Amino acid sequence: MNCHRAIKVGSTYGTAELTKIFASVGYDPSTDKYIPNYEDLSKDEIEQVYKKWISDIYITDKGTLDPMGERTINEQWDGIVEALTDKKTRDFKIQGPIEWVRIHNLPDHAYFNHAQHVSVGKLECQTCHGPVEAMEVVKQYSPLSMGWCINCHRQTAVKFTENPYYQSYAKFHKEIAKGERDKVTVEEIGGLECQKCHY
Amino acid sequence: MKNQNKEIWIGVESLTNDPVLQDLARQEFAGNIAEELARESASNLSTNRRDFLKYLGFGLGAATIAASCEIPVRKAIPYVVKPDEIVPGVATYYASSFVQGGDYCPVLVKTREGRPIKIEGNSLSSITKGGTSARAQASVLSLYDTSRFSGPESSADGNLGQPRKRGTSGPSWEQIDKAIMAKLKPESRIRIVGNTVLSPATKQAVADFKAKFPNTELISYDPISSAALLEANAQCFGEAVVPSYAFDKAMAIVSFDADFLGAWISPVEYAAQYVKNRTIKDVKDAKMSYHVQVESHMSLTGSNADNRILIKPSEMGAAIVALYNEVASLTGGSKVSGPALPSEKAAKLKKVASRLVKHSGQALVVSGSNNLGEQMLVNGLNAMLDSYGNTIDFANASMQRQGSDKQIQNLVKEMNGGQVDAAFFLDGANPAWDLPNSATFVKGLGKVKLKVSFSGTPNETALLCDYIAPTHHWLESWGDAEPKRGHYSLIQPTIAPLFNTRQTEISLLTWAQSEKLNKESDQPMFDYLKGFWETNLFPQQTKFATFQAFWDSSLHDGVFEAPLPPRPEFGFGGDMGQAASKVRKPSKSEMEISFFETVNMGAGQYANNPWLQEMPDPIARTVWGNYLAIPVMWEGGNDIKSFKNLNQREAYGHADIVEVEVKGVKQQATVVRQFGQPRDSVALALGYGRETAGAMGKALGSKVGVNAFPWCSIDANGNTQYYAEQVNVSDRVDEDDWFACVQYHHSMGVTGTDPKTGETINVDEKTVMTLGSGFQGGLVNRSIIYRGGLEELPELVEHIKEKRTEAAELNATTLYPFDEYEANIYSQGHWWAMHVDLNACTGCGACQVACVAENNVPMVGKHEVGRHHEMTWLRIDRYFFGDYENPNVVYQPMMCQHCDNAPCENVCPVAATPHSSEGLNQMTYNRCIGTRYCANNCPYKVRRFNWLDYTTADLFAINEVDFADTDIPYLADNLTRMVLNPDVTVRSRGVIEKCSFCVQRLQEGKLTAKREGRKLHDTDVKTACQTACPTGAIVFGDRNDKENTLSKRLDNPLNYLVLEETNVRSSVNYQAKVINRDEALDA
Repeated sequence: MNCHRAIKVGSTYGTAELTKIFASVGYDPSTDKYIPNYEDLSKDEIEQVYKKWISDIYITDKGTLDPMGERTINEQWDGIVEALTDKKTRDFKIQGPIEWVRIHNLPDHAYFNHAQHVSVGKLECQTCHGPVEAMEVVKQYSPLSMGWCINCHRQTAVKFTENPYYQSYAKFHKEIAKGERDKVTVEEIGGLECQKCHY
Repeated sequence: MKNQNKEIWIGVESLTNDPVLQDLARQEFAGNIAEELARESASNLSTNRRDFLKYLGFGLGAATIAASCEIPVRKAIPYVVKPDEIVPGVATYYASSFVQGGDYCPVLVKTREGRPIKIEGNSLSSITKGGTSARAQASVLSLYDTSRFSGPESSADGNLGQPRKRGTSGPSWEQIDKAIMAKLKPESRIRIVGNTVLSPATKQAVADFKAKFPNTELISYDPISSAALLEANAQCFGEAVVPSYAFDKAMAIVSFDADFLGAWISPVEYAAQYVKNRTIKDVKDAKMSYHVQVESHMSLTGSNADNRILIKPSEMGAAIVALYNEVASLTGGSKVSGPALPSEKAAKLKKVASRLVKHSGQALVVSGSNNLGEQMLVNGLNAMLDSYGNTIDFANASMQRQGSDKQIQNLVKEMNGGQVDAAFFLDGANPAWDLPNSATFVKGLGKVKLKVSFSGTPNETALLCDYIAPTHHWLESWGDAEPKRGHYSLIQPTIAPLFNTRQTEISLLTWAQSEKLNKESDQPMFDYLKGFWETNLFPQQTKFATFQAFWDSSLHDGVFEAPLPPRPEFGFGGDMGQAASKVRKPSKSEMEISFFETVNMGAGQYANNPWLQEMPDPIARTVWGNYLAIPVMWEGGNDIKSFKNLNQREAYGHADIVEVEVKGVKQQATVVRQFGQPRDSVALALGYGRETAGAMGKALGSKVGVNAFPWCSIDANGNTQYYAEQVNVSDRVDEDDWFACVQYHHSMGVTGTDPKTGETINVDEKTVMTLGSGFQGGLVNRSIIYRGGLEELPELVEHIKEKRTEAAELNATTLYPFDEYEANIYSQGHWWAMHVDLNACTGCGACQVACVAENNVPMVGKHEVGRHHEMTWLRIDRYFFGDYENPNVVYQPMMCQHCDNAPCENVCPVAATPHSSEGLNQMTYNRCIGTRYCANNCPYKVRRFNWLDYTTADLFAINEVDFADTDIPYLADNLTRMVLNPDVTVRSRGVIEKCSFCVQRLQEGKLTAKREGRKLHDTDVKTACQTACPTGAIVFGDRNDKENTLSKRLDNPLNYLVLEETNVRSSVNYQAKVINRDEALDA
């Protein structure tokens, strides 16, 4: 059936869409809540967060947390650590995919393409996603809101002379040659226009 | 009958300057909306104070929730092992073939995350050269038809036409197989009934079945039949095939009722060939073929012809005999004696004959007639004109019509005589509905002990069967097709079967317990097909040494052309004298009726496809039904009368319903006035009025229109005839209050003569004219269509130049700094533009359906269309010109013109529609608050407002549109929603939308060029309408790139901008319509 019909009046799902953009930098999956000091948590504290999450699910399933449940939690956690930390001993016995929790929340009705930014714009992953190599658990680093996008488009210079694609911008090339301008920003070639992202 | 009108017109009202049309054209939104809503709410809403508070309460509650900072947890299941071919967000294309009976189109299927969402043409095919048809474009929606059988069914369960309840299941395949096999005996007389079967592998499967059941016969019939053509070729050449026609080699074409651009045999192929000699590439040395259509209703092909000769349906035989004798006397052949044609029409054909003979060897005569004698005479004509070997070729003979009327009629007899033990019906075959004598067929079917249907959706025949063994949709199937001798095409699945269906071939092989079936295989049909190709097709070629390489290449390309073995020439034979005695005789009846196939509905197989139901008929511009076309008579001056004065209030959206009686059978039909309909005949489309087009409560196409098949007849030779003499049309008996004809919607203003002053004015701009004149063109003589005759081409070029200079002068007085913008913004980077060649556009509508598919354009239903709410981004305007009673037609695809000085942009209070530096007029749904000022201000009337929640995007069921007898609205079902293009926003209620020049495709094309570090080519950016067009009428590109195809076409002096005098600086160039009309035929 239509998923929209499934949304009951008073549901938090649809309406929370409006505010979620700023709310997802670091949160606790077990309580569905934003943790203000998430960045400061140690590995042990994160372990507690995750184990609580798993035990909650176990209790929901079985009703009570028995010794078997405790074993399960430890096994799961070990499995997560093993799978996530050591590539050489990848465990192929894991049945089925792990359910991922989506960390990055993006505005609706916007089109975003990584290739445009990474392959063409030569941006580093860290520019938008932060120091992912140092994150124990990945979290949303940037707000990924429209204002944030627009601001970057205003400041960032296009790889204008390197990529032959941009040769069709003859006027800007002339100005660069004459020394009248040193760069062309994304904004100047239409990077703020609605239909660059919304269509 | 020289009733020439110098201007173009769209209907009677524009000729008579009716104030109705003026009113309609002045208003963007017809009807009093407030009044309508009030009436609706009285019946539907019944909002009282408590309800109001309830809604308001919800609003407050929602705001409170929104203010809190909760976030939803969203989970995703990643692939453990990601399939190589699927990259999220990136489309994958597979070559396949659209096949429905004899309809064939090689295609590329666009899939996103494993879902087929769009059909593109396959340019590797030498038959269609990348073109598509509306039917092929729309077929992707049929995959997600909610009416489809979810698995095998047995009539013992008693609910064949009902959708299965969730969680319940019918019999298993094993149970069905067991039951059917128990009833089949080796000596059983089995009849497999289907439409034209294009697939050699299917035929092989039938042969393998026959090996176990030797009394099996494959009965092919086509509901709209070319059986007489096949028989005529069998008699004249010894081969019952449709030859390969070369319209591109013909400079003189005569078509007797063959709608070869619309529905006849292979329209995509023919349209591409036809326009080759119809487009004007160079004004100086312009050449055009000459095309005469002899017909008794305005067909799509007839509307593109230079001259039409109007005859009554029963005069067809006499007309062919007349032309035969004229050509014979000019070429020294012997005349035949046959029925005579009224002298006025015969004189016209005499003139046609001389032009045909002049182009001997470059002439082509085709006929859609299903009369053996007539088809033989047409063969005789082509022989005299030296067409064989030049414009007609038997070596590449077409397989696209194989049906025999005699065979199916013989089956009816056999069944009624109790001589058939089992009848199997292939998908698409529906003889219980689409035969002229379907009642007799149904009676006979009752005597057959075992009846099995392979149909994927419920239809009239399937519901009479004992078992349903539903086959896959073609997008889930393995298969092949041989549309022409030596031309092979593969069908490959693009999605795993959505339901518990099984391919027909596998069902047959299972029941026959054939050893050729690999039961252990995951995909038995794949193995069977591959095996068939290895044995039969691989040896036909020498290019590939191994079968695997051959298979991989064929599967990748989708098509394979085998080198044809040299064929011995065979002579032309056949007794023309005897043929002439078999042609139909003119009737003395006052009124006759002809039945024809439309572009969208076929013989009714497409009834359950809302994209095709809501695609306006190119000629009548009606949707959701077939309408009785009645003649319009000119009585001098502004006096235009319709037959029996019917449909006086057509432009108001009210049409008359009449009772039509043929052969004693009465049915009611809604009327549409049709210019170019002969005075003594009416016409009605076939394929409408399906009783059961799908499952109960889910079928959109049930009981839409009138079923004309029972009015057809069978001639002495056993072939179905699609006309009837002695028809009685009653006076008005009722009124259709929601006349769904888009003719009068979104009018851009048409000129007419002011009845008071005799001056030429704009019909819709009369008020402006009385207020003042001069500013920005004074709004007189709006430039919508430029057209001219081939011989007066220099004058036309001069006229366009003059008008454009005039417009430029008027536009010079403006506050809009176009030159400044051009120099600073548009002249660098991209500046998108489009070119539409009105001579290449045949009006087939493929672009319109492609646009719907690409851009998630909602369907709204008959009632909504009736009140001007159709949502199509691209409409094909149809204008008449010339003789009132026998006009020429010009089609104009009209989409957002992406004006650089756009009037819509200036009036938006929330800046929801700004302009881009690439010249695009951008529509941003997120910002739109639905004031509709933009739509009011658009001179081209291309903006559409979401009056209701057509896509079920919001929470209130009351906002949804319910346009058919269905449990849930169209696009509310998750199955249907799988067809949505994820790159395009699904619009909600209350926002305006319009053509975006397929901006998602432009962005994708630009990105490809950027990633490859090169200049953008015009092949990177192609709009959906452009790729769908079978004739290349639409070209899109960057006008700053002076080397691309677009820029070359922009040089043509026949180009003009629509409404250039309004200084909106539109981006779509149209190339004027040129016809090669022979004035001598007007006399």
